[in-house]
Amino acid sequence: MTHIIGGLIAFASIFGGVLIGRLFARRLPRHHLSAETQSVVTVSVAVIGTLSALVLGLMISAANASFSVRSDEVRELSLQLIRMDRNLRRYGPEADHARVKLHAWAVAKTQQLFPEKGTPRPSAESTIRLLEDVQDALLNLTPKDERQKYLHNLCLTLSSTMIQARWKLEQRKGYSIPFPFLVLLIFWLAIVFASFGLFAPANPTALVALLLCAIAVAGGIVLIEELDNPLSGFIQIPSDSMRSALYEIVH
Amino acid sequence: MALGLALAEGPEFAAHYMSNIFIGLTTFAAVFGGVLIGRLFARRLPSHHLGSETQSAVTVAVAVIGTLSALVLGLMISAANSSFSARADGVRELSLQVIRIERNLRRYGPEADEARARLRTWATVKTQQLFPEKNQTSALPETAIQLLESVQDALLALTPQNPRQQYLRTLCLTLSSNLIQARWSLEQHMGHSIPVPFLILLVFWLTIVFTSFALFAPENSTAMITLLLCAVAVSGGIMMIEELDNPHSGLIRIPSDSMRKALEEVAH
Repeated sequence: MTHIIGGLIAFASIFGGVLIGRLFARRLPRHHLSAETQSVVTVSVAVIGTLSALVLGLMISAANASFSVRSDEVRELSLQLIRMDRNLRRYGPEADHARVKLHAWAVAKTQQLFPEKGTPRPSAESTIRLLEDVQDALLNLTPKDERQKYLHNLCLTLSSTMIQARWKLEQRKGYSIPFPFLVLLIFWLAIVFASFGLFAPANPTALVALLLCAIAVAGGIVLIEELDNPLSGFIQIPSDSMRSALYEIVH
Repeated sequence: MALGLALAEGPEFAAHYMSNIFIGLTTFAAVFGGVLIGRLFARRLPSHHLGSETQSAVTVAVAVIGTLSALVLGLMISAANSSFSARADGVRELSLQVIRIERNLRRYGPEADEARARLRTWATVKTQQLFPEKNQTSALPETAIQLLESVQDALLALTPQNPRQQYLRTLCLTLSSNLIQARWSLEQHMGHSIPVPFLILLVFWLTIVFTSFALFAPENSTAMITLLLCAVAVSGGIMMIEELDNPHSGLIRIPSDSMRKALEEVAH
C-alpha cells in the first residue's frame, strides 16, 4: 500500500508541475513566452531532464539486480533443502528424526516467506530455531560405518550452508533509496514537467500526452520501491522453487 | 532550525552537517553566479556579438558540455547511492554476525558465558562508535578491536566436552573471524570516494553551461526563474553526492536499527 501512496504522491507532484506550468502560461504576459524564452527554458531544462532520466534508469536497474539476487537466494535455499533431504534418506532410518525436523522447518519457512491469506506468519525467530534443531538432531547422530560418517559430515556441512543462506536472505534488505534522494528526484521531474506545461498549447492532445508521461515516470518510481521490497506488493519473488522443494521432500 | 539542530548535536556533527550544506551553497553560488555573469555580458556586449550565428555556435558547443555534465553527475549520484547501500549492508552484516555468534554461544552452554559477556561489551561499544549519541564520547577504534579480539580469545580458551560442543566451537570461531573481517571491511568503506578536484571540474562545467544559457536569455523573469530553479536542481544533485558519500553525518545516514536490534538480542 505504501508504494502505491508513494507513487501517487510522485504522480501528484509531477502532474502538479504540469498544471502549474499551464497556469503560468495563461497568466504571464505574452512577451514572457516568446520563442527566445522558450529556447532558454528548453536547453536549461534539457540538462535536468537528461540527469533525472539517467538517474531513474540506473536506479531501476540497480533495484532489479538486487531483486534477482534475492530470488537466487531463495532458489539456493530450496536446492540446499532438497540436497539435505536426499542425503538424510541415504543415511538410513536413524536420520528420520532429523528429516522430520527438516520438513517442519521447510513448511514453516515457506509459510514465512510466502504467507497464504488467513494463516498466521511464523516469526523469523521460530523458523531459525527449527533450523538449529535440525542441526542439533544431526549432531546427536552417531555414525556406525565409513559411509554413514561421510554422509554425516556432508549433512552437517549442508546444514551450516543452509543456515548461512538463511541469514543472507534475512540480511539483504535490498537496494534502498534514502528518502531525501527520492524527494530530490521528484523535484527534478516536477521542474522538467512544469517547463513542458509552460509551453504546451492548450489542447487535450498535449495535456493527455503530458499526463501519460507523468504516469510513466511515477510508475518508474513505484517500480523501484516494489523491487526493493520483494516480499510484498505486486512484484514478488517466485515461490515455485521453494514449493517444488517442499513437494519433493514430502513425497 | 536545521542549523540549531546541528549546533545542538556537538561541534563535530555541526562541522559535517555544515560542510554538505556549504558545498551545496557554493555550487549554487558558482552556477547561479555564472547565470548573472552571462546576463551582465549580454547587456555589455555589442549586439553583433550576440547574433543568431553566434548563438547557434555557442549552443552546439555548450550542448556537448551540458550532456557531459548531466551524464557524469547522474553516474556519480548513482555510484554514490550504490556505495551508500554497500555501507548500509556492511553494518547489517556486522549485526547479523553478532546475532549468529550469540545464538551459537547460547547453544554451546553456560561455559560460553564469558565469551558472551565480552561480545556484549564489544557490541555496546561498537554501536556507540558507529552511531554516537549526544554528549557521549565514542570509544577509540583501537579499544573496540581489542574487545573483539578478546571475544575470540575467550572462544579459544573453551575446551569442548563432546562432539556437539566441538562443532559449535569451530562454528563460533569461524563466525568470529567473519565478524572481524566484516568490521575491517566496514572500516575500509568509511572514507570519501569522490575526489575534490573532480567535483570542482564538474561545478566548472555546470557554470559554463549556465553562463551560456543566460547569455542568450531574454530579459524577463520567467527565463530567470527557470534558470534559478535549474541551478537549484543541479546543486541539489551535487549536495546529494556529498550526503551519500558521508553516511555518518548530514541528512542521509546509515540506519542504526539493525545494530540496535542485535544489541537487544545480545543483552537478553
